[in-house]
Formats: sequence, structure tokens, C-alpha cells
Amino acid sequence: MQKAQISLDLLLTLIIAIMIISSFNGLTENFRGDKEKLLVQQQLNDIALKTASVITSTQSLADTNFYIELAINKIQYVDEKENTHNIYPDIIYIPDDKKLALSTVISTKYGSIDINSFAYISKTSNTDINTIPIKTKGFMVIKNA
Amino acid sequence: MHKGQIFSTDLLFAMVIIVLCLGTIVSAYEFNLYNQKQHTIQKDLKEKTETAIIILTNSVANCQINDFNGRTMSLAYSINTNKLTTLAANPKTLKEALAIQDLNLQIKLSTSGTILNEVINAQNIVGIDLSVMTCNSSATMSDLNACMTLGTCNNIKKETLSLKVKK
Repeated sequence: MQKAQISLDLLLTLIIAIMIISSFNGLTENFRGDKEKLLVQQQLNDIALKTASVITSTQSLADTNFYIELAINKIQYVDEKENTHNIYPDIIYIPDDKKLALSTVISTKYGSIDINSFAYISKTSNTDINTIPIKTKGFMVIKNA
Repeated sequence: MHKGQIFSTDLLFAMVIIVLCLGTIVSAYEFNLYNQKQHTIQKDLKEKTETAIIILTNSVANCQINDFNGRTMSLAYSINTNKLTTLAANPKTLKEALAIQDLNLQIKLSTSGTILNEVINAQNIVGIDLSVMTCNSSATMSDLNACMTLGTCNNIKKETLSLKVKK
């Protein structure tokens, strides 16, 4: 080995180190993307489950003239420019499947991602569900028709 | 180090240690994700079970008895054993009424025994025990009155309802 000569070991180590750091960056980006999607999915699942529980529980009030305004939480997510957004999810009731289906679209650095969730509900035929006020007023109306 | 040798022992050791460290980090991350997932499943199951037991004992299979004026009265947190046995003969319909059609269900009463048994021993089970009044279809207001005031419980008695669900 001569003076000022870089050893092959060092060169190889540097190359491997650079490769590992690059792959770590890729992995971290991937984790962050997945984590953001999972966080929104979890929020949707929570809203679906809580809303379905309230609607199903109204069966025990079937002999009363109940009227419920159920507040719906907003979905929070961070977009591609690291800005935080709060949006209401879309909620629809599918009578044939006895399901409450929730969906939302978030924009990430990987493009728009459509996230869905659902929860089973059980209700009496007299129970009326109105999801229209959610987008404007932030609540859903459940009442005995 | 010899002429023509590419990898030294130092480099090989360093690579082995780096690979081990990477493996440990990825395993820890996956372990954490698994724990979070299990916690979420348990939380969701608990919420579904609580809702199911509330509507089972307050709407789907509760006791309806006639009061002294001939009006029908619903007993909160009660089970009509005849009604529940009939419903349990068709588990799919019962689970749809409880909004848990995606889960397995087990229903037991402390003295009347097992009404429905779908749960097998496995992970992801949530169970709730609840003190309820059980009655049969011929229970009357006088039976309820006698049970509450005199302790003579004929068609109505106090039991523990165990409801378990499994994902």
C-alpha cells in the first residue's frame, strides 16, 4: 500500500454504506406512505364502528319517538406538502347488505388514494338514517320515522 | 492482507453486524405493527360485543310481560329464554340482528346452560358477563312482583349471561 492510497476495503465499505443509506431512505418513504394510509384507514374504521354501534343500539329505543343528531368526526391527514387537512368522510347506508359504507380520498405524494371502510348495522324498519347533513353540518340524523 | 484479496475479515464482520442491526430494526417495527393490530382488533371486538349484548337484552330477546292494566311492558336487561332458544336455532339471523354477522358467537346462561356455541378456542375472543333477569314466555307481572318482593321466583329469575364473540 502506498502513501495517500485509498484501500479497496474503504472503497467497498463506502459503496455499501451509500447503498444501505439509499435503501433505508426508500424504506422510510415507503413506511411513511403506508403509515399515513393506515392512520386514515384507522380513523375511518373508528367512525364506522362507533356510528354503526349507535344506529344498532337504537333498536332498544324502537318504542320511543327518538331523534338523534350524531356528530361525525373529521378525518385528519397530511398531504404531500406536509399540510394538515380535516375532511368529513362520505357515509352511505346500503340496506341490502345491512352495511354502513364509508369512503374518503386523500392526496399524497404518491397521488390520490381512495380509502374505504364498512361496518354492519342492524336497525328496525322504522329507523330512518339521514347522512346528507354530514358534509355541511357535521352530523347524521337518526330518528324513528 | 494478501495480494489479490478483496474482503478483509474486518469488512466481513462489519457487514454481518450491519445486516444483524437491520434485521433487528425491521423485526422491532413489525412486532410493533402486530401489537397495534392486535390492540385494534380487541378494541373493535369489545365495542361490537357491548353493542350486541345491549340490544340482545333490551330489544332482540328481552322479556315482554303484561302489566296489571293489560299493557305490554319491556324489561330492560332481560332475556326471554324461549325467544332466545328459538332465535339461536338460526344463528345467521340472530347475528344479523346483533350486527355481528362477520363474527362467531357463543351465548351461555348461568343456570339455563349454553344457548349457542360457535366459538372455538383461539385468539381474538372477547367475552362479557352481565347479570340479567331471565323469563319464559308465560311470565307475568305477578311473577316479577313475587320475585322482587318475596323472593319467590317461578317464571322469572336472576342469571348471568355470558356472551363471547370471536373474529
